[in-house]
Amino acid sequence: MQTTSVTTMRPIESPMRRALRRFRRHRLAMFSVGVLLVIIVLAVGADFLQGYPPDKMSLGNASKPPSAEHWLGTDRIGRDMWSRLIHGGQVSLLIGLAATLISLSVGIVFGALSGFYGGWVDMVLQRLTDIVMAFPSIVLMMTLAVFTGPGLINVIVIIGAVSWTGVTRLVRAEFLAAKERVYVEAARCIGVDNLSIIFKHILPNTLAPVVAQAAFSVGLAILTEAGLSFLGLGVPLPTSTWGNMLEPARELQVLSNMPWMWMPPALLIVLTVLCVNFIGDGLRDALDPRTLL
Amino acid sequence: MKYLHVLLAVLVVVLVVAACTPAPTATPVPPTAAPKSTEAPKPTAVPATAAPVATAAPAATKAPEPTKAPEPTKAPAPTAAPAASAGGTLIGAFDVGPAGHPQSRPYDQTAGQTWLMKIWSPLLSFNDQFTGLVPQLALEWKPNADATKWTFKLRPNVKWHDGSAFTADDVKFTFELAYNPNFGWRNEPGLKGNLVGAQDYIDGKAKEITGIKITDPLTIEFSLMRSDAKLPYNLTIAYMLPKAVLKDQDPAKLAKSDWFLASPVGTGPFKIFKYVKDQYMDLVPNEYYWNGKPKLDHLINRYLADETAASIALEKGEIQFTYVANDVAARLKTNKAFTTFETPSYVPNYLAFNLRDKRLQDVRVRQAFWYAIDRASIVKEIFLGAAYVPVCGLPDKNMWPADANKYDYNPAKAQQLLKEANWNANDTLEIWTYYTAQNQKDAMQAVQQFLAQVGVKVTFKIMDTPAYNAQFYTGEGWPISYRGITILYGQSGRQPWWASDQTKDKKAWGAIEDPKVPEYILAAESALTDADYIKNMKLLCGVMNQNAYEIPLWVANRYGAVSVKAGNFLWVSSGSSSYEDKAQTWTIAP
Amino acid sequence: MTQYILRRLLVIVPVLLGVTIVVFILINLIPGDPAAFYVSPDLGSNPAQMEIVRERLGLNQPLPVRYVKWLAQTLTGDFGYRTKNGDPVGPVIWLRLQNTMLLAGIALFIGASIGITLGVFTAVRQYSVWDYALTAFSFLGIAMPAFVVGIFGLYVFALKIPLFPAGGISTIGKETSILDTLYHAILPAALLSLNYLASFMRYTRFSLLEVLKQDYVSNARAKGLRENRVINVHALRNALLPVITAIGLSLPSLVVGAVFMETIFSWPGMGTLYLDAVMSRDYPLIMGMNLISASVILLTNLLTDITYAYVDPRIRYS
Repeated sequence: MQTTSVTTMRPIESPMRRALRRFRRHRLAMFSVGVLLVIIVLAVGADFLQGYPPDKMSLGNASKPPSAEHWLGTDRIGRDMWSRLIHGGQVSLLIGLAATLISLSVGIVFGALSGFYGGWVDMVLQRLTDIVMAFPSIVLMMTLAVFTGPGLINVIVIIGAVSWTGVTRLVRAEFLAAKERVYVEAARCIGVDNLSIIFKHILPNTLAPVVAQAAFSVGLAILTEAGLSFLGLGVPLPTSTWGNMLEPARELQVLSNMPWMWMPPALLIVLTVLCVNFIGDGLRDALDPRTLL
Repeated sequence: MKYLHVLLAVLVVVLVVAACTPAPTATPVPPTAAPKSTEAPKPTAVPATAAPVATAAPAATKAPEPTKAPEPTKAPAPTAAPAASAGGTLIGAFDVGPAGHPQSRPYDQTAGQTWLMKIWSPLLSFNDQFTGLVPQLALEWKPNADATKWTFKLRPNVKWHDGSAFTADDVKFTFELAYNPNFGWRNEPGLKGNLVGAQDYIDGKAKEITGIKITDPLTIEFSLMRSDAKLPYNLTIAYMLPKAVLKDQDPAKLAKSDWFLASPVGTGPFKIFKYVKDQYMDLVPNEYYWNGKPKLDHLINRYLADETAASIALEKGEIQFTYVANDVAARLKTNKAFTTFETPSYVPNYLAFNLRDKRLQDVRVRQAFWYAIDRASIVKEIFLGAAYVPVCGLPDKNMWPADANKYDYNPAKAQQLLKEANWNANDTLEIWTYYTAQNQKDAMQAVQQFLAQVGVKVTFKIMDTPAYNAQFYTGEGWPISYRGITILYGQSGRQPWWASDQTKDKKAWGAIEDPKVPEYILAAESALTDADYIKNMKLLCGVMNQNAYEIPLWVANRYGAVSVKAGNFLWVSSGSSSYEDKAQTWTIAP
Repeated sequence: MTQYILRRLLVIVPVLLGVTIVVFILINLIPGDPAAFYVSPDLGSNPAQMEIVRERLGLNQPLPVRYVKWLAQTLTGDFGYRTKNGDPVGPVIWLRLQNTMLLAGIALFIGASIGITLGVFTAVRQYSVWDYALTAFSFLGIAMPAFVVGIFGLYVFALKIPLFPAGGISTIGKETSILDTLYHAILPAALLSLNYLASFMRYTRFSLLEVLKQDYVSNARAKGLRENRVINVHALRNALLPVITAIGLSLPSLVVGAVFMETIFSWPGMGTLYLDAVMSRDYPLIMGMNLISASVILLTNLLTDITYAYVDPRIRYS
């Protein structure tokens, strides 16, 4: 194989370093990291980059198109669109990350327990996974959203609660393979307890595919939030999120005559998800020992 | 992968440019704000009954001579009223809004009156200004001296869609079917609790309602337990059902029956020709209609998923009528192809205080809230002037006392009042609402900001109608609610203020315990003259205004737009009552 | 194999039961019931009206009783009646299902046919400008949510350049015809297909590139076969396997519907029906729709696995 000849010419490096090096060579992913960093800086530094506070209303200035004063115009109660856009970024990114954190934790724990213990634990957890997977995710989310009512935390929990199944299956498969390996056998022999074996020994070795998966689910979570908010089931007003900002476009007047009110959040959603997906691709390629880079 | 990032950058730029090019020339029209405050399903009808006895001489098979010759509509007549009366098809998205479903079940709350009254007729309805009543199936109605007995004279020569005669038997049958517990009448006009014998009938102790008496085939009497001078105003949605057709049906099955959608027999100007679920309901003229056979060949109610879709369909000529948001109406006003209608909604939107909450028991706090909200600016900027600011929860300006406090925007005064009342600036109040329309959301956010400016923190909790209904009426859990209630002339809307059987603690929703409130409402209801009625409503308005038991925010207008091809067309936002629209005179130019 | 299928089918039954129980409990925990939906606060409601409806709908019975009743009724093939308007649930779903299948079917067809074609096209021209452009497009297609695509599409192709109707399923006043329905379906379906198109294109490209690296392809080339033949006969057949799986896994959307596109284009499909059902707490409809979509998802999963085993003899299920 070609790979061998290439790698033997290099000094031995840690898997981490190697992944990093390979990731850096994925130019699209690196470019995306750059763009995403800009978006994150804008969102995190929103308080310093705004001309107006996001909730500052000025009824006399409602629905004004972009100007030097208001870079992206104003919304229908005269709030600064630029300020709302970057503050909306905070919330959208937060939801993306937090929901992913939830789905990853649930997914990893369930997958690990299921794969490691097998037997009835596996049986119960896998049937549970089956049940959740038997719902179309949007249907389940609409039902849950009506159930909990709108709310930032609610949206995060709903998205997290619906999207852990993929990770579970992934981790379970990795565990099934890993628990037969020699190092696990060795750990057992010296009397390491099960939990330590699961979390200290096996888990770190199975994380590579999960990391890439995590990047994709951040993108998915951002889209889901926007979708729920678009249907009026998401984060309650006056908090601005990109999905909330898009909702007025369901009205003809805004859609056809006030593009400054919906195009910027629409573009940012697409751009952010695009970047996150590219990064996910880069990570997957970088962490997968089989790909050539 | 060399060029991919360059391509991506180019693509993003292209996208941005592409995104910005469409409509840059478009005039920045003012923001949207649909004045539709009622999105929830509207209630329907109160079937009333009457027992047909042998009918007045079977009229000529042609349409019976109208009592009043169809006069040209008063309402904003389309500019070009086509003279041609030769049929044609008029398609619209009627009432319940484009968001609703065309339906024809007169006893359910799932359809709008605007459509129901095309197929069914009540005994009487509002006029198109909603200032008084006009005869429909009843010619005249009179109370006895203390308004405990009402006598209705029915219109002679009225025929059902199948050609049989309408009589007092049908009226009695309708009310008895309606009060049959198996049938489940959702929209009780406040008559049940007051009608002699109704409770016994409901409990199964009596075979008929003794309080409804047929004195001759065209005369029927209602006996009441207590005086109600405004009874007829509550009967505007009591659509009559045919006894001959329905008497052998099982009421329990009838409620779900497709009969109402497929081939119902009513007395309205039109009858159903075809109903395609989710798409449209097609009506054709009732040749027996008592006020003349309608001129249109077809009248179609099209189901469109939302207002945007309906507006687009209207402008593309796919439909000739829909109700529209106020900004769309503003735009269409200058368009010669359409005539627009503007009507008040009769739904004041208000902040209802829950006086169970100790923080709100101080009148100064409630008044401070009122002073703090710049209602005039919200009406101007968010409702684009398509609303007005009331002094109390009664939408009718004639019921406002001259000396009412207008509570003009005065943040300084608000802050001072709050200080006097020792308002705790760290308190957060939750405001419950079921409104989801975009302009309502904008208005709520504006209210929130105005209150924040005087140091009052509020958050809005937007619920869907079922969740709201399930929790609001207990009187618990909410300190303030942003809501609306239809209050029409003669319907004093007593529920919000004094009805006492609805909450867990047997108080009114907001627990208002001012004895003057029920006093004035009762006086208004038993007033036999309009002057007396209005006098008492003014007193009521004054009490509510002075004590700020609620903050009336605005009464939005509603808009409709119709193609100028339609002649004699009349539409009024009806909400909860039928009105006279003379649909039999409508025409459409090719 | 038969044994495997039987076992899988047996597992489906408890999962389906689980699904219906979860849904049933969930919807009954949501505040508000169908009775509360009927009464508009704007029109002045009162709890007594809600009680009438509650009684009529049998909502006063205890939860387990209602579930068992529902189950017994459903087992006889009767889904009951909508609480919202008394329509029978089965026919309502069937009607909406046809609309959704048309919309999603066209979208899936466009997505699969063009997506696979473009995937092959880009794979054989790897690193060409076309490859980059189309790959970038596919990333965009995946990152663009349906509501953004839908809004843009409506804005451009129905409002600014009015080529297509802006919503609905047929022109009113005309007899319903297949052509008319197709005319209404084409814009939302095309917009909906973008996502499918993008992902099938990526699958095909990726999978074909993998296959082209295999020894047997080199062999075929070494034999002196023309490149066309190598790709079409030898490589493509194997490369399409994962693509077929991906298409198979997309099949449930034919039943679930596309809520965003349906909302934007007023398409009376399953997505909007479900939204309506949840908002009006239409219990029988919610139950019926979930049961049907869950069954379809479970069966397509099974079918995909079986097909896979048939096509790829290396896979053994036991």
